[in-house]
Amino acid sequence: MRTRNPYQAGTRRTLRAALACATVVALVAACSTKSNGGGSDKSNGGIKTGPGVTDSTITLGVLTDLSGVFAVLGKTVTQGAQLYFDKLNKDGGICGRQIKLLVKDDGYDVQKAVGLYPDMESSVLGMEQLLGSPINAALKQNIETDKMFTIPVSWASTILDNPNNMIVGTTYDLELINGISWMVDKGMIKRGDAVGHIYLEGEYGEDGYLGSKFAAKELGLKLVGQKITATATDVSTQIAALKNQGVKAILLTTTPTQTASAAAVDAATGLNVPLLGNNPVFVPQLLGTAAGPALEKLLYVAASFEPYSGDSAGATAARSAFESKYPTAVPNGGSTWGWGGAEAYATVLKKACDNKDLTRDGLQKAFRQTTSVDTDGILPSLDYSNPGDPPTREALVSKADKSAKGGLDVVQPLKASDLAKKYVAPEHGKGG
Amino acid sequence: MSELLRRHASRAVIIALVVVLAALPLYVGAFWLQLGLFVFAAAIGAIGLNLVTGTAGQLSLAHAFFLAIGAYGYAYLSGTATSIGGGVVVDGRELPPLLAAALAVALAGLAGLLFSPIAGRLRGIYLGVASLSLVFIGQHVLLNAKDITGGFYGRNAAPFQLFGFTFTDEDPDLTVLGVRFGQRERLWYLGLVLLILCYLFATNVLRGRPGRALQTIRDSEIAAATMGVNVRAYKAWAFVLSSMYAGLAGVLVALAFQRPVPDYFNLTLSITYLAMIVIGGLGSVRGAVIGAAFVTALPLVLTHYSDHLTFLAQPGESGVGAADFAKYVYGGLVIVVILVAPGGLAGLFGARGRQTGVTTDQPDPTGPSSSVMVKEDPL
Amino acid sequence: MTYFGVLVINGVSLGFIYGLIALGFVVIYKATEVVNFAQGSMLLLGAYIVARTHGDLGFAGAVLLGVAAGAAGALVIEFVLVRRPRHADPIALAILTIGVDIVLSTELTRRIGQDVLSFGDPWGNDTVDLGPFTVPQARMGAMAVSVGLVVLFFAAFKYTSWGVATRATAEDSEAAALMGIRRGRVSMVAWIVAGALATVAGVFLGTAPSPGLNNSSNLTALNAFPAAVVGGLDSTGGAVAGGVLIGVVQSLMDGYNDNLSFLGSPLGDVSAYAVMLVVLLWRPSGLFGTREVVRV
Repeated sequence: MRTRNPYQAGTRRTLRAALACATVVALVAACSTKSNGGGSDKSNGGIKTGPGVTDSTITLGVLTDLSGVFAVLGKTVTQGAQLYFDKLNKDGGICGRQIKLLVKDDGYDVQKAVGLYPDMESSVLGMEQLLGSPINAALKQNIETDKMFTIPVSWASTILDNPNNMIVGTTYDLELINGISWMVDKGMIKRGDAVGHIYLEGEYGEDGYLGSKFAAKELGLKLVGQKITATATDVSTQIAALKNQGVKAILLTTTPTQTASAAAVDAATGLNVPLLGNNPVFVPQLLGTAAGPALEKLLYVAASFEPYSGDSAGATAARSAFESKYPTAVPNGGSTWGWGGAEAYATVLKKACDNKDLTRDGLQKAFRQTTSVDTDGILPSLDYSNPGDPPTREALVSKADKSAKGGLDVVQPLKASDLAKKYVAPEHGKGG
Repeated sequence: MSELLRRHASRAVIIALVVVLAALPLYVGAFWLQLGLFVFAAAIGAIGLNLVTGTAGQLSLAHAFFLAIGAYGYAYLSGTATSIGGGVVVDGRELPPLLAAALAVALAGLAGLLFSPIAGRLRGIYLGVASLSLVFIGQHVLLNAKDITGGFYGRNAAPFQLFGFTFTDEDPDLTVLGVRFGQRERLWYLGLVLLILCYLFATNVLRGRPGRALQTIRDSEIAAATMGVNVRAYKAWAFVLSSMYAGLAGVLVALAFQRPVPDYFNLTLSITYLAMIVIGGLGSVRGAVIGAAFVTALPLVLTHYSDHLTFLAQPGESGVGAADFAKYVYGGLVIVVILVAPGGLAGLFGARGRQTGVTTDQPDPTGPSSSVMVKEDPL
Repeated sequence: MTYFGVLVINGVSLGFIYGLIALGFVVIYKATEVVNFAQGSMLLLGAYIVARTHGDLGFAGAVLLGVAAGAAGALVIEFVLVRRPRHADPIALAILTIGVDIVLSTELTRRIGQDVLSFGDPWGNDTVDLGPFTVPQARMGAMAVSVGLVVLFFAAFKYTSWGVATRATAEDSEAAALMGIRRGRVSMVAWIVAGALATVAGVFLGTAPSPGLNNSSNLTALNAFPAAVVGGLDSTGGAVAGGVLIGVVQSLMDGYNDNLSFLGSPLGDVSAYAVMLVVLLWRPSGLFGTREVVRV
C-alpha cells in the first residue's frame, strides 16, 4: 500500500548503517585491546619513575577553576606556579627533567572535576594544584586510592587527615588564633570582651570558627558566631546581631564582597570595631568600592604568606616575574602564593630525586622527609614531618592600604603566638 | 508492512548501540568510562524528569533534590559509622548495598509522594517555582544533617555489591580478554543494564493507559477530568515515578563519585536536567537519553580536546574557554529547540515515530509545530 | 526590643529591593503569563553597564544608560525570542528564558571575574538616623523608588491604554485580541519596563550596605522569586508586599538564629523558600494573586 514511503528508504539505510557499525566494532575488537593504564612504575637510569615521568620531563596536574566563580584566583595561582617552573626549567629542572604542568579547567563544577580527574590521573605524577573545597572533598577517595600527592588550594586544618595533601602555609584556624593574639597584644580587645565572628557555612568558614573558639576560650573572650551563606552580599543583619551583643571586634571568614559589606556597615552604624579576616577575605578590587575608606580604616588580614607587595626576596622575585610576563594584569596575592606553592612542591620533588625514587610512593616518602621548605620569605619555613599537623604555625597580619601594591601592607611580620604554639590541630596524629 | 520494517530497523539500531556500548570498556580509558557513568546516571534521571515535565507538562525544578535523596539515602543506608574529618562522625545502617539502593529509590519516591499534595494544588508555573524551594530546603538539610550526610565534606558511598560480586578494583580480580576490569568498567555494565531497564519501563508506561492520561493532562487538565482521568492521582503518580527515577540516578551518581558532596545537588543541576529533556525533545524517552548524553558529555569532551580546539582560549588565557563555550552551546540550544525544533535532537536525528493514540494531528516534521510541547512518540 | 526593631528595619529595607526585582517578574507575567527566569541575569547586565560607565558618564548618566540598555536587552529577548513561538505555552517560554539566563549569566560571570561592581552612587556609605535606628541612604532611596513605582504602576494599569490592554489580556487574552488589543505591543512594553526595572533593582542591590555586585549576585536575585510568588505573580502591590515579607522573615531568622539552632544555620535563604511553600499550600495563587477559576 505505502511502498513509496520515504521513511522506508531511510530505514533501510539506518539498518545498513547499524550493521556496518556493528561490523566495524567487531573488527576493531579483533585487533586491539586497550593497554592497562600508564601508571606502572619503571626504573630508568638508576631512578625509579612513576606515571607522568619520562627521561626528559616530569608532568604535574593542575585541576583548577579558570571559568567559574574562583576563576581569578585559579588563574593567578596557576600563573605564579608556571612562572616558578619556567625559572626552574631554565636552571635545568629537577633530576635533569623539565617540569610540565597539565592544566585542566573544571569551572568549579564538581561533576566536571570528577570527570576530568581520570583524564589526568595516569599521565601525571601528582597534582600541583587542586582548587575548590567541594572538589577536594569529592575527589578525596580517588586521591587516596591513587596516592596522588596534591597541593589543595585550601588552608583547612580538617583536610590534613588525607596523607596526600600538602597544605602550603598555615591553616585558617591558626591564622585567626595568631591574629586574635595580635589584637590582644595591641590592646584592641581584652579578657571579658565579646568578639563576633561572621563565617561561611562549609569547610572554610567552619575551620576558621575552630580557631576563634579555641582562642576565645583560652583568652577569656565571649565569642558570638554568625554563620552565613556564600551568596549573601549584605551582612547588615549579622552586624546588627553582633552589635546587640556589644562586640569589641569582628572576625571574618567570608567572601571578599561580604568583607566589604561588613566594613561598610561596621563604619556606617557607628560600631567602628576592628575587623580581622582570614587570607581569602580580601581582594584589592574592594578598595575601589564605596566601602574602600571603611576597609582601610578597619580591616586587618591574617595570612601565612606575604601579600603581592611583600618585600622578601621570594615575593620580589615572584612579583617581577609576574610583572614582566603579564604587564597589564591586575595583580593579587594568588600569584605570589602560587610561586611559593610551586617552590614547595619542587622541594619535595628534589628530595625524591635525591632518593632516586620519582614514583608516587617515592614522593610520599620524600614528602614526610621534608622538614624545611625555604621560599625566600614568601612563606615561613614549612615542616611536613608530622602527619595531621599544619606545616607551620606562623602568620602575619597586614592592613588594607590603597597605596600598597595588591592593597595590603604588612603590620606584623610572620610569627607564631604562644597560643598558636599551644593549639592542637583537629587531625593531629592522623593522616600518617 | 513498512511499519513492521521500521520497528525492526529501530530495534536493530538500538541493539547495535547496546552492542557497541557493551564492548566499549574493552577499548576506552578511564576518562571515557567515567563520562559514560555520568551519562547513564543522567539519562535515567532525565527519563524521569521527562515523565513529569515532558509528558505530563508539570514543570519541575526539584530534580536535584530527589537525586540527592537517592545518593545520600544509599550512602547512609549502606554506610558504616565512620569519622570523616572535621570532627564529624557519620552514622550508617550497614545494609547490603542492593537493599540500600532499592530503599534509597523508594525513599526518593516517598519524597515525591509527600510533595505531591503541593503539586496537586498548584498549576502551571506556580508549580515550577514551588518546586524550586525543595532544592534550597534540600541543600540546607544536606549541609546541616551532618551525621547522615557528612555535611559539607560529603561522605563515602559504599561500593556496590551484587550476590558477592563487588564493583571495585579487586575482590574478585577480573580480567576480560586481556583487559583488567576495575571499578569503572564494572560500574559501566551496572549503569548500562539499569539504563536499559529504565528505558524499557518508561516506554511501556508511556505506551499504555497512564501515558495517554498524562498527555491528556498536559494538553488540558479540565478536558482530562471530563474524560474521567483522575487528574490529581495521575499527577501525584507521575511525581512519584519521576522521583524514583531521580533517586536511582542519585544512587548511580553516588557510586560514580564515590563521595557525593552537597554542592553538586544545587539549582544548576535541576536546570541542567531541564536542559537535557528540552534539547533531547520533550515527551520522548529516546530524546531524554540523547539530551542527557549531549549535555553531560559536551563540557567534558570539549575540555578533553581543548588542546586541539584552537578557537577556544587555552587554560590561563583570557577569552572564551571550553567550559564557557559548552554553556553557550547548551543554553543556546535550549532556546533554539524551543524556537524552531520542538522535537529536539530526537526529532531531528531519528525518523519520526508512531503517533500515540490520543494524538490525531500530524505536525509537519520540518517546520515549527503549532504547540511547543510537541506531541512526540514515546520512544 | 531595639534589636527587634533593627532587624525589622533591615528586613524591610532589603525587602523593598526584593520587591523591585519581583516587580519585574510580575509585570511580564501579568502581560504575557511568562515567568522570566532571566530576570536575575538581566539585572546583572544593567548593573554591569552602570558599573562600567559611571566613571565617564557620572552616576546619573550611567544609570540612564544602564536603564536604557536593560530595556533594550529585554526588548531584544522579547522581540527575537519570546514572541516567535506564537502559541507556545507559558511553561515552554519559561524554559526558554532559562536558556537565555544560562547564556547571559555565563557571559557576564566571565566578564565580571573577581570585580566588585560598584556604581559611584552619591549615597556612598552615608546613613539616615530614624530615632534609634540607622538606615543607609541608598536603602531609603530604594524604598522611595519602589513605593513610587507601585503607585505609578497602579495608576498606569488603571488609566493608561497600555494598562487597560494589559489587564484585559491578563483577564482573557483571546477576547482581548478580538477587541482589537495588540498583544504584541502589550508584551513588548512589559518586557521593556521589566528590563528597566531590573537595572534599577541591580543598582540598589549593589549599593550600601552592600559594597557592589559580584559574579554571583544573580543568585541573590533568586530570593525575589519567593517574594513574587508569595505576593501573587499577577499583583504589583503583592510583589512589593511579598518582598518586604520575605526580607523581614530572612532578617528575623538570621537575627534570632541562635534561639532556633535546632533548625540548623544559616536560616536566611532557606526560610524564604519555606515561607513560599507554606503560603502556596494555603493560597495556591499567592497572597494577593488572582485566584484562577477553573471552569469546564
